[in-house]
Amino acid sequence: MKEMIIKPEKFSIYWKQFVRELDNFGYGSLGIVALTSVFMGAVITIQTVYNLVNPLVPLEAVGIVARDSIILEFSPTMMSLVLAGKIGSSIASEIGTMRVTEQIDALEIMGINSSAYLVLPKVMAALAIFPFVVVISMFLGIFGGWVAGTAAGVISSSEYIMGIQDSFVPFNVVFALIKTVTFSLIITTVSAYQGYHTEGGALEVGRSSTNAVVYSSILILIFDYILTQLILT
Amino acid sequence: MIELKNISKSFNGRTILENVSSSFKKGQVNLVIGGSGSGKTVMMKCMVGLVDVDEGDILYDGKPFSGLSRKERKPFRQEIGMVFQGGALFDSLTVEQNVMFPLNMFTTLSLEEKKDRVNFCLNRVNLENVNNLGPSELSGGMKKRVAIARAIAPKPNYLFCDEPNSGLDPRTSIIIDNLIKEITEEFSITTIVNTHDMNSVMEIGDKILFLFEGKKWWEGSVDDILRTDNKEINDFIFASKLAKAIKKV
Repeated sequence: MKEMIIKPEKFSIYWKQFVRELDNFGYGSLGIVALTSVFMGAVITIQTVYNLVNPLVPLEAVGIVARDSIILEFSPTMMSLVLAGKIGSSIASEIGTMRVTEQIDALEIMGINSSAYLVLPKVMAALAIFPFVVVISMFLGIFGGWVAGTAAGVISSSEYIMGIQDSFVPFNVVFALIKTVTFSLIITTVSAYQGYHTEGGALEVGRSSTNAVVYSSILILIFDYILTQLILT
Repeated sequence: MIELKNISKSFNGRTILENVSSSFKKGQVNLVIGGSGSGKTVMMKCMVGLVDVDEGDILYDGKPFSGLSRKERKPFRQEIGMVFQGGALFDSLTVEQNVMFPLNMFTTLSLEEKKDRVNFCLNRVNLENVNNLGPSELSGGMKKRVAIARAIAPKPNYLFCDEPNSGLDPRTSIIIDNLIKEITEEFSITTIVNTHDMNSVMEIGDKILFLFEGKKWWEGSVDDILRTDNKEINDFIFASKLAKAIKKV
């Protein structure tokens, strides 16, 4: 971490790397994020209706539950777990392969701080783009809930829309973004560390990639609990 | 000139290099030979600063190199070119971008000047029409040549090659050897080559250093090596039946 935070050798090169990673992490993840979010919202809505057995509770509550579950937990945490699998393994295997094929040594020989050159643009790009990805996931999750709820005929469109507008707490979005930024830092640094310290060959690159996903996921769950405890209670 | 003064290196209590001293002159191809595990690669990594020595000094043209911080080594590093065993080309970049990489990082040349330099270096290693290919589209010999082109692009004073012939057929090996020899003489650089290839020893070696069990065992010229009665070096060089037959003749 310490070696990573330095003045770039040439800002324009780091900037190009940063933009490349933005595209890779953002645009490259949209498909899986959209798919997961829509189905996640759909399942939350239908399950909430299924569990809502008390006739005194209005169906608008389904919208409230779906919205808050998606914003507070599912979009930031579940998307971060998905991104840990997709992006974390990609970072670890990319850097790990560079390590075992001596590409990192080649950078060092040229006088380039390899940890800064390889890791810093990834960390900065993740910090910049993950919040947008999670916000998109929130919208798509809520949209998925509306589509599934109305298509299945378990809730009317007006009840769902009234529900998602009711008792909205804007701080919940801020809290979700704080979690997202923390998780993006965990995913990129843990994965880069695993990749950077790979020794051996193809087998070890695979192991680093697996470790990156496992350790990132565990840390995400631990920090999810810590942040929730610290901020919401 | 690069000088090694009593350098030693151990890993986890196991001695890899023990008290090695030598000097490598400018404009010469200096070969470091020895069996697997003799310490050649570790010695080269110490010389380029990828591994720090435990004891001893490494001097580049009289200036101390070992023991310097990353920042203090930077001016040296930009004078060092290295060709790795597998080429170590950057997978995400094309051939042209690979060769241009050190120029992008450390020079203020215009794009036109950088392209001219890249084309000069690629022509120098006898490669044409490969600028837009990726490393995965190149043969082993082409990868080595691109790696040499990348190493010489920033006009280094010191060129290190770690087993440049490994995995190549004999004909391509000779091309790579001759290229290293020509570049060394043409640009008057200090070249150090780790090799197992006995053809390289005979063809391009101006000076040969033989490492055995981490120690400097023998040092001399090609003529000397053919006449030496040192058992270990004879066992190493004339290990094959072909070499034994040639020696008899």
